[in-house]
Amino acid sequence: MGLPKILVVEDEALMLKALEFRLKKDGYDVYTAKDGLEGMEQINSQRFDLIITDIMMPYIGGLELLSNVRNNRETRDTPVIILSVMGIEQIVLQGFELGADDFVTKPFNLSELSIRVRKYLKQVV
Amino acid sequence: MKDFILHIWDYLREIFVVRLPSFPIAIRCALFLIVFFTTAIAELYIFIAVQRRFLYYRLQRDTIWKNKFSNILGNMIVYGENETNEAIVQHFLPRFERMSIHRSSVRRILVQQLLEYRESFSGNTSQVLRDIYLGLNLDQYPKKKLRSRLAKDKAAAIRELSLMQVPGLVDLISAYADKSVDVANVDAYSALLRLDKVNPLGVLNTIQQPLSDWGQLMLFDAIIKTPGINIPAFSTWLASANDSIVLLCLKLIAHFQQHEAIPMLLNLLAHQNVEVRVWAVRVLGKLEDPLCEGELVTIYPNESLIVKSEILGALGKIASGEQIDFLRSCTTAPEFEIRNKARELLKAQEKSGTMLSNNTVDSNGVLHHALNGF
Repeated sequence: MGLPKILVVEDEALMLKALEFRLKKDGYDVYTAKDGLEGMEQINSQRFDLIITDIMMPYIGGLELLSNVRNNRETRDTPVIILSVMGIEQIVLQGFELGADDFVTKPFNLSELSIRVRKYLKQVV
Repeated sequence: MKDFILHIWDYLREIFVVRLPSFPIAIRCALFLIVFFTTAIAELYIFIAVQRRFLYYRLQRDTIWKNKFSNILGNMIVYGENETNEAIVQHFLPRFERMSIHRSSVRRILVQQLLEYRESFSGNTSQVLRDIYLGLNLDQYPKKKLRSRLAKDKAAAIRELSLMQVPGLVDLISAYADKSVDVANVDAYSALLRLDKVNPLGVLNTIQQPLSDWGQLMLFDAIIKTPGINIPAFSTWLASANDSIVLLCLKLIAHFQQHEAIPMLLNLLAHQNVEVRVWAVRVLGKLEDPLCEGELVTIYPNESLIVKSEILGALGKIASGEQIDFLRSCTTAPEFEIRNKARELLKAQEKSGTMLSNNTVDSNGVLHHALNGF
């Protein structure tokens, strides 16, 4: 069995790189997408064990991506962690209603994210 | 092709050199203008082409530096979890020092990335980023910019220094707060909120200048997002002589749902500033306390249209069902906006079932009449 596959969808290049570095170091097979559209293309082309997505992105936002994931029979059970900025509780609530498994609010602790990722991947494995 | 160009050249030479003296003055002037503007347009095109080339090279160069820095920062973020911050900084600082950070263009890229990461991460990562920033003495440049005459530069410097929590910054920034109404002012207030560990909200007592909507938004953002601030009762500032502070605190009361502020909010319904009254009513609506409804209905007849409309909005949010008769009376108000809003509220309350419990058979008839067409 290969490494657990994680898709990170984030439009900030620097953030994307940091998450990629960190998750690779934690021993995952990390795929990246720089916007929601690219993220959807990857989701439609292969199966992921976990999706981490930002909220505010060009073309397709994080919530729309989440909604698409949940409405797709193939991907509806994939855990989704959403990255959001502090102080937008409405969006957090909307995300949970759409079926997000977890929220990580920026600024966040990378070790905390690692623990959350581990938790969801354990459930999957 | 060569013959054609030579032919054109000969033709132009004949007109502008050989035959020019024999032309009337008007033709000569026209020819001079043609030469002048043709040359100007050619120069403009050359200038744009050169600029584009420079921009292209600069972008290429910036991309290389961005990649170099992001790789080092990425490695730094995942470097030995069991290492102390000091050890991580000692390991990575020489790498940054070897880069050409004495060049402002390169330094700008590094600072931008450090700030971006610092905004996104907390915990050890954030601390290491700050230590790297201070270890490279990058704080000296924004400190110099604080003396700039340009408010934009000053504001950027304050933002950078506050985000990096440079030591001794509170005293430095206090000097810039409330000196004049400019963008740096609001950034100075926000920075004080983030940096002053003893009394972060003391800044609300010192602000004398009226804050713009944007300024209020910046402070609101700083207050709700700064970790570690003990949120006080914002009703303390509702008696402030500075109306913009009162407005800011009203928004904060609504955000933090401070119900204990309701008596003070009711006092504000008699405030002379209509904007304060509008916000006081709006916040009472957001707090959804049915005990306020009576007071709102009492002040309604003597209020301006904007406050009346806000009162209806607040009653719609509270929706206790006690003010159905009042809302019905509003459906025949002379102002279209009021009539419309009252009908919408009645419709919403009917849908939610609030009215059913408080309605008589007679009043149902009036209601159906009021909702006719909705």
